[in-house]
Amino acid sequence: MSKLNDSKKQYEDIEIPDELKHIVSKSIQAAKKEESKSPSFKSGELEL
Amino acid sequence: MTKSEKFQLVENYIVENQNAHYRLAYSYVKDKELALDIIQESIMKALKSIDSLEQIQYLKTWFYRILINTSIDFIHKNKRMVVVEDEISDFHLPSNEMEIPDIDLYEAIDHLAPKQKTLIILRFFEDMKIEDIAMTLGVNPNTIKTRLYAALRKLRSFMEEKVKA
Repeated sequence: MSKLNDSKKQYEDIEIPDELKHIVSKSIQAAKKEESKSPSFKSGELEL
Repeated sequence: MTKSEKFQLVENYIVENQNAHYRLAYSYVKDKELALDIIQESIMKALKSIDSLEQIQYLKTWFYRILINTSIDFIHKNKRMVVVEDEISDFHLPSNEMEIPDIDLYEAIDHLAPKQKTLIILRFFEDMKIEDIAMTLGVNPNTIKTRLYAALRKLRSFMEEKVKA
């Protein structure tokens, strides 16, 4: 099991780049901009 | 729930789990820029296809499916990467126990086909249950068990060959 734990630690230790936050935020904003044009989004149509 | 409320929930989920999503993407491509591209594309795909998320409790499996498919697409598109061909075959399991080989899985999974790699990552690094993996990949749980066993067997035989060489 120790090798598995080591492997898992390597996975968990993958370095998170500083740019990630910016990329995530930029992508959400771009999708939001596009989605806000859709009529169902504006009118608050029931989806679930 | 309105579409804008659903959008907000998905957005919150993406922001809160961005590090986990990056790790998953990175483990496929082992390249920072490509992993960031995968994240960007996955978010765009997810938010554009938000209507395909029918039940909010399946948000994680829904997003993981998009992320995994996008990662595998990137591997296929990227000529610099060597893609190991898929050799997933279903066969009977000798037992219900799934022994974990005593090897460095993180390094060894690069020798697996992308679909097999996905199973190892989700099961052993993300600690996902077989049922959740099945839901994420849209496959029967028994098929997941069989394919996971095949992936572990392949890793074991790869390591045996490495030791002999």
